[in-house]
This record gives sequence, structure tokens and C-alpha cells, in this order.
Amino acid sequence: MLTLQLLVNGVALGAAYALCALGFVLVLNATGAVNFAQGDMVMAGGFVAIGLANLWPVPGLVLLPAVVLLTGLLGLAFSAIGYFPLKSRPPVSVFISTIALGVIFQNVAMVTFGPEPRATPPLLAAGNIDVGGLTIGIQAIAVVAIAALLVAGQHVLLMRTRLGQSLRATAQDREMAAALGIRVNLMIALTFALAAALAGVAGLLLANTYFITPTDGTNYILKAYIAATIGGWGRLHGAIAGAMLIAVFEIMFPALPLLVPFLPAAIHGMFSQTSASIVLYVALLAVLFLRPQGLFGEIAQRRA
Amino acid sequence: MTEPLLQLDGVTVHYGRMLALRDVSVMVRPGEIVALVGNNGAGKSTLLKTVIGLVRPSSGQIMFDGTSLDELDTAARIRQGIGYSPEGRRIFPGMTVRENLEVAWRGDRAAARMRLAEVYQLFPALETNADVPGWRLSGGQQQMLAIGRALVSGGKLLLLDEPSLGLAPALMQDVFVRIRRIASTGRAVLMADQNIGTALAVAHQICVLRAGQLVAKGPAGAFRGQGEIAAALLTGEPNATRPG
Amino acid sequence: MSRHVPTSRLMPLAGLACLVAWPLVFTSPYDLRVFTLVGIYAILVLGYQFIFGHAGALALTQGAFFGIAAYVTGILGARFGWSFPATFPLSIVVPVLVAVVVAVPVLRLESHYFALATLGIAQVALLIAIRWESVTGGANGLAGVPGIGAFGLVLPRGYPTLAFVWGIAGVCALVAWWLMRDIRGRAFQLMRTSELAAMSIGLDTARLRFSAFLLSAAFAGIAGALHAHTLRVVSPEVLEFHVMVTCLAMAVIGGRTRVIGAFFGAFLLVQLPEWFRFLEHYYLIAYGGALLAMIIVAPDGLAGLLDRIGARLGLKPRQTLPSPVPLPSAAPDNVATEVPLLSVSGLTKRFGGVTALENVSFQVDRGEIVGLIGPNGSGKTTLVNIVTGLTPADAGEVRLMGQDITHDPAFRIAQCGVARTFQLIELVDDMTCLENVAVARLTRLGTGSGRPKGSTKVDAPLDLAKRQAAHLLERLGMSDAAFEPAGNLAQGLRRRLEIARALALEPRLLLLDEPAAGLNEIEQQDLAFRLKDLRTSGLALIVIEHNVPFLMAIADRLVCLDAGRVIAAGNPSDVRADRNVIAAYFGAQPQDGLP
Repeated sequence: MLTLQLLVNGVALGAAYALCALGFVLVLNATGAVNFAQGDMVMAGGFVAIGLANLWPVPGLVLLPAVVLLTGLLGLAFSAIGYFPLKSRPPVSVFISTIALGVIFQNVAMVTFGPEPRATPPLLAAGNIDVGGLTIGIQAIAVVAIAALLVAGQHVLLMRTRLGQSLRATAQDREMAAALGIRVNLMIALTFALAAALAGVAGLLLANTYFITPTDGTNYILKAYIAATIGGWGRLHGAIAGAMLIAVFEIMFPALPLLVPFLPAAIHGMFSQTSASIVLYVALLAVLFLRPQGLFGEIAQRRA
Repeated sequence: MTEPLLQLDGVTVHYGRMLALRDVSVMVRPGEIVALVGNNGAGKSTLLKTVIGLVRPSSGQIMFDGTSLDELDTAARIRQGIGYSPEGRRIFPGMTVRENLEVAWRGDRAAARMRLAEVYQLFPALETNADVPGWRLSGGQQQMLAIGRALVSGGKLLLLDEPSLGLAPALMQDVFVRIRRIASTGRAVLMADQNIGTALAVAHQICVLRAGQLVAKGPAGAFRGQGEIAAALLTGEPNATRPG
Repeated sequence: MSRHVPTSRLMPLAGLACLVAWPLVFTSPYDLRVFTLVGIYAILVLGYQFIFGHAGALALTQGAFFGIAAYVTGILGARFGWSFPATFPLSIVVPVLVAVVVAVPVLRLESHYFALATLGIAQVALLIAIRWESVTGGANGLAGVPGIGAFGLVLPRGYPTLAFVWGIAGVCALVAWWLMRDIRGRAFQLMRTSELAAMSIGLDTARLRFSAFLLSAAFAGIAGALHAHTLRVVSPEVLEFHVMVTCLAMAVIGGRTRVIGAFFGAFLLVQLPEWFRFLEHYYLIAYGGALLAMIIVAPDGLAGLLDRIGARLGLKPRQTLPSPVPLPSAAPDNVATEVPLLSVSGLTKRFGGVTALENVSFQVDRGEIVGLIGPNGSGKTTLVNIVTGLTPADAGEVRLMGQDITHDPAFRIAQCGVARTFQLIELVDDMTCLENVAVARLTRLGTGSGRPKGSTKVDAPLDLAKRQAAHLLERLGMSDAAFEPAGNLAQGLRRRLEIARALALEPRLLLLDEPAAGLNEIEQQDLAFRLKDLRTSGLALIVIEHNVPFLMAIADRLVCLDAGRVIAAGNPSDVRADRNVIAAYFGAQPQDGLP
């Protein structure tokens, strides 16, 4: 029973990670550059929601459209400052500029909200519901539902609309897209907006259960990065699967002594959130070393 | 003689300090296939890119269908009816055949839909493979898709960069038959080919480029049977004589 | 000479004067400590320049190495009472060892992979520092770290510590300058501009990157240890990402490859927050903004900016061509003459489903020019890439003077005497012609034959490399352009410069990929003449060309590829007349005919 409850929490956390990772991979595909501030976008989304809730105390679900809009706009501005001036430079320049923008975001949040952990309002309501003897947080269910909706919406946008086709064309072959008259720069700016909005929603979803501080971005970008790496660099579905895997592991690992009764008490101390993170990073290094194409990927051989 | 559909007048292009095209004038009439022939680096691709607006000339003029293209960007030129297929086909690997064609739609949707139907008629293999991702197509199918995509995006003039590259002779022949068929509907084709023999097999007019300059042009008939001279022109033998 | 002091000398001198004056003007203990920190951060950044600036890899481990070293000093000093002579070397060794372990899985990764993977390592270090309370003191850290000292004597705070730290910073600066001086640093520049070109002149790029990474870790270790001694406490803050960002910002703002840039960056970013302390977090916002602005406006940092201003003011140092020294004449290769110089047999290569080469075999003898022809996409460049080790073959074998080199890495094949040029010229545009060639020559001198004998001058190889490079430029008729940046040259000269660089390897085999492309007729004739001249010295050449008349004039034999197969080989006029070649290449109608 406990296992199932933890699993639900893990999936909820993974759903939020997945949104962040999805945005990370979208930008990566569209520009070939790493957006290091993607984690700070999660943080920004959380604080945007907190700021809005201060002005207008309503459930998180009501705030959601506003968070999407505001963080989307933030993403547009972000691309205008951090990406477009550098787009003909090596990708490392963009990497550094996004680090710089991340520092700015963090400290704007610090100045505005202070360093204390804050929580966003719950999406619907606090509390639990009982499903066949299983106590599940309403928030966890709502998080999973909204993330699933957004992932589905993102899928429909990319696969079923003209705009999505242009976005994908831009990501797959920018020059060819331009040769077909697609406004490549606009598509890239929109990709940044989409990525920021996805991260922003992740912030809204996460910061109720896990709280948020201005410096949390680093943690989230690392999770997005690990998800993208084990899922196969550049693969959207892989990133989602990777995010789920990480989150479930993070939730389950510290609880192993409770879940596995025959573990000797002497090693219970080894199972903590910290050791979970350490194991995760070591696993990441192992993946990089043994399967650079990711756990689910296949080697794409390109003609030299 | 019909009015020219496309007319380049004294077009000069620089890449930085490097001269890529010098004072090139070419004209293409409706229903006509004009082949640009020349070596790697002779300027064929540059010329096609200049027409579609991916490269800006430093001087010269380009007229299309009675209007000047000089002020128009790529999207606007495509809307005027110009379709472009770059060297190497550049199929979007992660998109299906249908998506590869649909993504090229610009401007009038109904007309594009009709051209899509026409592409399927011209290349039935594309329709049967409509849901296959681009990267799985064979080289010949990819070439057909690239031509089809150019046709969907612009209905009056096709710019085809090396459509025969890397194709086996039988396939090449097949592709050329389709290009001829496209031209027979009154569309114009401006194609680049580094091989004068294959160009002669399909084109009505030949323009030979060398080091960015137009060194010979004329009807394909004037070049036929003079393979050696033509080859010499291409490969840069100094004393080659001009045909025709 | 003495009246003309070049800017490259002037700037460090002026900087040095400021550095000495500063602590004499701002004398409060607090000011002195801040200035000590400037020295420490300068060491950290000097180290970071190796991997980030010179090797061009965005590592995010520098902060972690710094923090690890601080903890080594802190733990050994505060918990075990060890003193400086023991803790200091260990504080350097531990981060270096961590770097070795980390480098194995991570260093071969591409840029963003690399950056983020290194960040993961930093994060693990931070977590351990916080959680392993019994050893690290947890979130509170460790107090009571001893000062710098030995045998019971401890350097007092204030000027003595400051002088010691700055002394070490000076030594570090000298070491950094020495390692990257002149064209030695240019080898790294070549590597980050074009890894292919770097390997093709015989540089073991993996090893260069590895050594840069270890040097970074060692310098970070020095800085971390001094930091712990100066503050006398160690806390998890030293491992936080903020330290890494600061270090990165210092390198970007000061300048990524210049010694003086490390000091600029460290000084500005340590002092500025002191001056703007009242702004608190607003300062950090501005700080992010400054980093962003520098990346966009001055990617070479303040050091680069000053250089540009200096150049604008006409302070450019006058340069004279070093007196040319010829390369040693090629020794006979001691291999029986019936063994061909190069023999390629059964080479096959597929990319995905596309067959690029199918069972290709041919030989090249000493002093022979072999023309490689074939239509676009017929596999010519793939063949050259396989011979030079840039692309692995799927099957078949490449032998150089009888020795199997099929599976050797590219740099080793280059060291064996196989040089090449590229279809898309791979030069470092920001480097002068002389530097472009001298880098290759220095690499050759470092790995092979011609180490100057009997010379006691420390910089003898460097000097010789430049003088021999001057000779090569002279031989190719481009002495006048020696100090011209390669990027300013016309196409013909760029091709020639690439050949000069290839010749610096004293090759036995030279592969040229479309050397005549983009050349006008006069340039082509000139090139043909020079290539024929090279052959007389016993060098063999493989020349890929579309320009058949050009080849006909120089080649002893032609090999024609079509769709990855050899369809004809032999005497040039025979090959040119071959029916298959005409069909494939000269564009006669294919046999089956077209409508």
C-alpha cells in the first residue's frame, strides 16, 4: 500500500520534472544550445504563481493560464536577450549567457521574495482522498492530470498543427525550413516561449508540495539534464520517460528500508535523499560512459 | 517566343570577400527546363539560392513573372510561385512523407492542396508511403519527395539543385521523366547539375558556369554530340571553344 | 629596440604596478584580506583558463575542485592538526585525482554533455560535504583551520599572508604563461578551432584536453587550500555553484586565455561587490547582466578589449620574420623499395544504408602523384578520411610502408608521415600564417626527429619551429604574408598555406582534397608547378580533383571512383579515355541511354 502511495507521489513529481525536461529538449532541438536557465524558469514559474496568489488568493488551477502566459512572455524576452544576439556564435556562448540570465532570475526572485522557501497554492484544494483504502493527495492527482494534459497538448501542437510542423521543421533542419519560407527566428522564439511556459507550469505544480526558493533552479536543470541524457539526447518521449524514472527513484530510494523489511538495520542510514541524489549522479556518469545514446535511444549514424 | 518567367540580369554575388557569381544573366520561359552546368564551386547552387532569396546579390536584378524579386524575402518569393529543392534533398528526417509535403504549403491553401494531389499523381510511391518517416525512404524516393515538396510550395517555377546526384542511372532516368512531365504542364524548371551528359538528357537550355561566370549558354541541341568540348568547358581547359 | 616597448609587455607592467600599489593604498585588515582573495581567485581562474580558455571545453568542475581542496586543507588542518607542508600538496593531489577519475567517462563528451556532466560531479561533492557531518562538519563547516605555516611558525594575517598568496599567484601566472607561451598556446587554439586539423598535424587532442583538465584541477587545488588558510574556516559555500559561476564570469570578463585576464577578472569581481555591497542582491543582478553583456559585446574579455584598443592606437609590435632554416632533408625510410609507400586493400565503408566505399584497393609509390577522380559522392573524401584515420573503415586495410595503420588514431598516422589538406580549408583565421605553420612544425619537433642538438637555449625548439616555418612559407612563396592573419588571405594563398602546414610534418605522403578548387588559372598553374616540385624530393601525393586538365598535367597515375568503387586506374590518358570513366565523370550518355 505504501509502495503504491509513494509511486503516485513519484509519478506526480516525475510529471513536473517531465514538463521541465520537455522544454529543455525542445530548445535543445531548435537551437542546438543548452538552456541552462530552464531550471530557473521552473523557479520563476513558482514565484510568479506565488506573486499572483498574494494578489488574488484563488486555487492554483485558476492561476495556471496566467502563469503560462507570463512565463511564456518571459521566455520570449529570454530568447531576445540570451539567444538571438549569440545565435551565430558557438553553442557554448549561449550556454554561458543562459547561466548569466539564470543568475539574474535568481536574484530578482531573491530581492522580491527573499530566501525563505515558499509554497504555491494547491491546484484544487489541500487534503487527501481515499481510493479503495489508498490515501492519495488531491494535489498529486491534479498535478498528474495537468501535466498529462499539457504533454498531450504539446504533442497535439507539434504533431497536428501547421505551427507545430513549422516548429519541428525548424528543429530538424533550420536551413531547409528557411528555404521553405518558414520564419525560423519566430519559430525559435516561440520554442523558447513554449519551453518557458512548460517550466513555469512545472514550478506552479511542484512548489505546493516541495516549496521553492530562488536557488532551486540548479536542482531542476540537473534533473532535466539527467532526464534528457538517460532518455536519449534530443528525444521528447525519452525525456519524459527519463523524468519519470528519476522522480520515482528519488521518492522510493529513501523509503527502501520501509518497503523492504529484510534490509539490515545497519544500512538503513544509507538510504536518504542525499544518497539518492548521489546514486543518481553516479548512474548518470555510468550511462554517459556505457550508453551515451541514452537508455532508450539507438545510435544515429550520420554521414560524415 | 513566350515571355520569360524568370529573368536574371547581371547578377553578382559575394560571400564576404569571395566572388561567387559575376555578372550572370539567365532567363527561363514557362514550360522550359534550363540546366546550370559546372563544377563544384562554379556557382550553380549560389545562383539558385539567389533566386529563392537565401542569398542576396550585391548587384543585378531578378524579375519573376513580371515583378521584381529584389525586395521580397524567401516566404514572399515562394508565395509568388517559386519552389526550391536544395542539394542533398534535405528531407526532414523526423517527419512523414505527407508532413514533409504539407510543411511546404505557403499562401493559397486550396491551390496547395491541388498541387499536393498532383504530386501524388506524379509520384505514386509518395502516396503509398505517405505515413513513412522521411529518413526511411530510399535515395530515389527522397529525391522524388524533394521535388514534390518544391512543387507543393511553389507552382510556377521549380529550382532543383542536383536532382540526379547519387542516383543510379535507371533511377536518374525515372526522375528526369518526371521533371519533363512537370515542365510539360507549363511550369518552368531551373536545375543545377555538374554532369553535362545528364543535363543534356533532360534540359532544353544549357548554361555553363565556371568560377562564377557564365561561359556558355545555348539550346541543348548545340551541345549534343560535343561531349568533349562540353567536358573541357566544365573542367576548365583554357582553350575550349564555345559551341553554337 | 629598447625604445619600442610592445603592448604585450606594456600591459602586464602597468598591471603589476597597480597591483603593488593597491595594498599600499588600501591598508585596513579587511581590505588586505579582500585583496588576498583577489590573488586566490586569480589562481583559480588561471587554472580554469587551461580547460575553458585554451582547451575550449566548458567544464563546470572548477568550483568543485576548489571546494574539495578547501575541505582537504580544512579537515586535515582543523581535525587532525596537520600543517601547511603536509596539507598543501595533498590539497593539490586530491582534486587532481578526482579529475583523473572524472575525466575517463566525461572528457570525451561533446560540449554541453561535458558541461552538465561536470556539474553533476560538483553537485555530488556539495551533497557529501553537507551530509557527511562527522567529517566535514555538515552545513556549519569547520572552524579553526590553521594559517599558513610550518614548524610551529604561522604567517600572521595581513601583509605576510597577502605577500605569500600573491607570491604563489605570481608563480602560477609564470607557469601558466610559460606553458602557453607563443606558439605552444597556438596548438590549443588550433584544437579548439578545428579538432580535425589539430589531429591531422599530429596533435593528440585527447591528451591535450586531459592535461589541461588536470592542470585546471591542480591550480584549483592551490587556490582552494589558500582560501581555507586565509579565511580559517571551511563551509559548504565553497562548493556551491556560485563559486563556479564566479570563476566562469571572471574568465569571461577578464579574458579566457590571457594571464593578465585572470587577474583583471579576479580583481573586478572580488572588488566590485565590496564597493557595491550596499546594493546587496541588486548587485548580483547587475553582475549577471555584466556577464551577459560581456559575452555578447566582448567575447574576448577585457584583455581582448585592451588589445583591440592598443591595436587601434597603433601600438602593434613590429614583427620581423625569423631567419629561415631549412627542414632536415628526408632520410630514406629503410623499407625495401618493393614495399609500396601506401597500400590500400579491400576498403569498405557504409554510412547507415549508404555504401560510401566498396572494396577499394590501390597503391601509391614514393615520389608519385596519384590523381583521385570521380563524381560528387563517389567516396573520394571518405577514402582520404579513412587513410588519415579520421573515419574508421568497416573492412579492409591501410598499410604505410608495410605497417598496418588501419586502426591507428589520426594523430598517430600524421606522426607517421601522412599529411593532408581539407576540401573546406581548416586554418585558424585569427592566427598569422607563420603561426599556423609553426604550430605544426613545433608538434613535429616535439614528437619526432629534429630536436635541435647542442642548443642550450630553453626556447630552442620554439625558435627553430618558427624559423623552419618561415622557410616553408618562403618555399611556397608567401613570406610576405607571414604576419598576415590567415583569415585575410585570398583563397589561393589559403590553399598554399594549408600545404605549407602539411609540409611541416615532413610527410612521406601528402593528401590534397581539391587543392585547385576556387583558384583562378594563374593560381592553378602556380600550384601545379609547386606540386611537381614536391614530388622531386621523394614525397608521394594523392590529389583529389574535379579539375581534370589540372590533374592531367601533374599526375603520374589516375584512380577513378564511382559510387564507392574503383572503376579505372592507371596511366592518366588511358583512364581519361576509359569508357566507364567517361560515362561516370565526363558525362557522356550512360550506356542504357536516356530519353
